[in-house]
Amino acid sequence: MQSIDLALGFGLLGGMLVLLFIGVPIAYSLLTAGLIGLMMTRPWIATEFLVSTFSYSASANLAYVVLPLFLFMGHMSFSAGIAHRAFDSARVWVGALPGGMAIATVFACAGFAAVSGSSLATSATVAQVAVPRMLKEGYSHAIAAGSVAAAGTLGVLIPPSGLLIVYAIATETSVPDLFLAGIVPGLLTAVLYAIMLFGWVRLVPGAGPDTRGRGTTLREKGAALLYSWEIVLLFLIVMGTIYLGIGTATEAAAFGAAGAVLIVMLRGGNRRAIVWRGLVDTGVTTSSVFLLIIGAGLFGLALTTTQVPQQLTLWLTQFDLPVWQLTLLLLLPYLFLGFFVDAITMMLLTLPIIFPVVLDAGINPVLFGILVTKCAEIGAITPPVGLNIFVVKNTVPEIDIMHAFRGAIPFVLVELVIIGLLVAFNDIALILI
Amino acid sequence: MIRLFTTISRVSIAVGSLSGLATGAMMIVIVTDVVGRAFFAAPLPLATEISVMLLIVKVFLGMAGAQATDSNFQVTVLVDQLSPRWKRIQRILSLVIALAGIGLIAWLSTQQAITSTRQDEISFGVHPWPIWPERIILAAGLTLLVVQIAADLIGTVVWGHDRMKAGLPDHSGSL
Repeated sequence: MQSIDLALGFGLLGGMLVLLFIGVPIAYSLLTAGLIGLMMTRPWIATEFLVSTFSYSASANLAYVVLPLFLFMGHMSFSAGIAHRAFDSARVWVGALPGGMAIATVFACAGFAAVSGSSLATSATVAQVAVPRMLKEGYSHAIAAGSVAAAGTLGVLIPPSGLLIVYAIATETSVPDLFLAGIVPGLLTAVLYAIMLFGWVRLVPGAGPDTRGRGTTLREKGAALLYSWEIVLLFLIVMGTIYLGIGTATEAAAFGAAGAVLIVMLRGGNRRAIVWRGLVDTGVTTSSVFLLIIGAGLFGLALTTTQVPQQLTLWLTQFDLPVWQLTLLLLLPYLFLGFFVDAITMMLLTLPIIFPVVLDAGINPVLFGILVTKCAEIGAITPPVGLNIFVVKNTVPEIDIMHAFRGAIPFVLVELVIIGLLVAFNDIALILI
Repeated sequence: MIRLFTTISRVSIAVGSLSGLATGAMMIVIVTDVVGRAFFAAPLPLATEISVMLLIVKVFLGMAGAQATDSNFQVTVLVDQLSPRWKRIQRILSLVIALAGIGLIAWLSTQQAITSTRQDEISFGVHPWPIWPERIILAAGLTLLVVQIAADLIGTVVWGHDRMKAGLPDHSGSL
């Protein structure tokens, strides 16, 4: 009986992958495979009850309200032009270093990431202001596009992060813990990117312009910090609400969104249209993500019935691997899938199978969430999917796409180093929890 | 005739856009609740229940709009390589599969909504809160999604995808 169930489980997995590959939208692929699996493994009356109530139980939860609210906050921050200010401030601080403008781009992305939960929004927004200026200053296409595409991925690591929220929903891990765990790896990533860019411009002739004589005074640096007050304010509202015990992550998201709307209102322009656009776009994205969550949930239920995750756990435990080796092994599918599918899909496709193994092996689920997010970052800047690269290309059409992908290679290497560091020294992520 | 099908898409998008207002409403409800609780010891009654209902409105009434604007996540590695003829076949196959899956879920969710309404289903927190309206909203959203998928399917078979989607807005569904 068990072998029949297992065969069915692998059949479901295979069938679902075929549907994905032939271009059936991912949510529909998961739903269809999940429904077939449930019908084949349970009596109709049980399936009927499960399916009739599942959409509601998978979405009617106050904790999930956090997702649209943070998405909306990110949209408002984008519309308020916060990224421009972040870039200008960062340029005052680090512009005099070799590769200064590229390094400023990295820190501008890190700053914008603190008010936006989206990798694409961070790349698109900072690219608009940073890439044309870098090209004008004489930076190569590779360094201009690579730095903004790669640093844009900080949007899903530095809190608030839409991807970490999706991970939290899929695995019932604490959102505040995931947010805290993202801070140090996010800052570490920004610093290592900056060091790498410094070395790149110093060592490779023609990679960037001569920046000597562009130093700024301490007074200018202080003024630049004040200039970016919105980022500091929104970040403090969100993180302060959560960690000072004023409210939950959902309530922090509501305050953050309200703060971002106020900033848009203060800025002037076509405010009503900006807010309306933000509400509509957030609505579409939320619906798409939740359809995916419902599909992944049904598929996960069907798969669990066939015992595939449990058998995978048993199979892996027989090798008696140390936790760090098992962690790296479990990350391999994410590194591979990242080449072909976007981050949310990758998470929701794999977590029903892999997360039981993570728990069983004693791997910290918060740490695993951060590691999976790092893998997703690599997928966002590598071909053929490389969404961030395409976003930069769309934003600045004169960028050569091949140069952009080539420019991302050093950042991928840095990402791999950071993943290694996180696996070796878990406290880098867990120290604040 | 094509106007009927593009009208369905426009209705889906309009309903989805209106559901977007739910985010603003959620924000106001939650901020009011926290401010009331923190400064006046007077939290907003039923704030949790109202927020969850707004989430249901947002998620399910937005689904048809996401379908109409092709905003659902998709792996396009193979599709991008296909000729227009094969792309059309792929899209029809895709929509047939979606129609079967979502159709079944919509049907069963509608049955559940009817049962829930007949039984006057209520959740018992600090204040009793009727759940059946949420089940109706959910079923309505899924039914609208089924109608949209069916419209996309028929439209793609008869006129092709590009003509069906001409003039409709485009959204990105990625984070």
